[in-house]
Amino acid sequence: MSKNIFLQGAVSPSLIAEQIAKHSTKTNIGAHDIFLGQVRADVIEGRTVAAIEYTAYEEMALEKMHEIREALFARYPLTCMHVFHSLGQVKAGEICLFVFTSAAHRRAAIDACAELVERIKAELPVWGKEIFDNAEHQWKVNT
Amino acid sequence: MIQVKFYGSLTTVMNMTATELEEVYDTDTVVAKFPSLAAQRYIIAVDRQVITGNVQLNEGQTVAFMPPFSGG
Repeated sequence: MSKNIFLQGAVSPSLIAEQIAKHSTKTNIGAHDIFLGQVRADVIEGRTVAAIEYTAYEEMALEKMHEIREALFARYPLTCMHVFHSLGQVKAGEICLFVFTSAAHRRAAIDACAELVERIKAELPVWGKEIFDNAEHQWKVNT
Repeated sequence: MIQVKFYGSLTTVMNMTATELEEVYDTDTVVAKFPSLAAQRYIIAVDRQVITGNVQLNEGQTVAFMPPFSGG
């Protein structure tokens, strides 16, 4: 059973706070590393990005996420790892990706989080459609 | 029956997200049914596993056409 990483709409700051609070009982944790992806109001050919609409091949993304999770737990002494990725529309300024890794010590948490973000962006079958302020759209290209 | 799914920019190019095909026995045959794909960059997954080359298909499988990912 693959853990669900998707939620509809933006990741709220209160979800992030709740997740941090939830971990205070895990007193073997000494470090968390957190990455937040925010929708940026890029200006492309005079039009400004107002939102990104995310779609995914969900079943495949969850299987791939499971593989990535197993690989990182095998290589880093983590206590836990959580990924939240938005689906649907996320406005400029809102959070679309929240990743956090926890470990006894910071090196593992920091390194695993960095690797996890890169793997999510490279390997998960998720697509973003940039919606401009004039209602036009174009498909996002990751760099 | 084979399920076919399109994702990302391919949904715009193909003007659909999914369809079904009968009498197709490998991925090359599926690709040939959609000439608009010729100008596009994509990879193919059969039952959620990325494949390369031509792959034989069994009844009920799902073939997904996926352009470069842009999540996160």
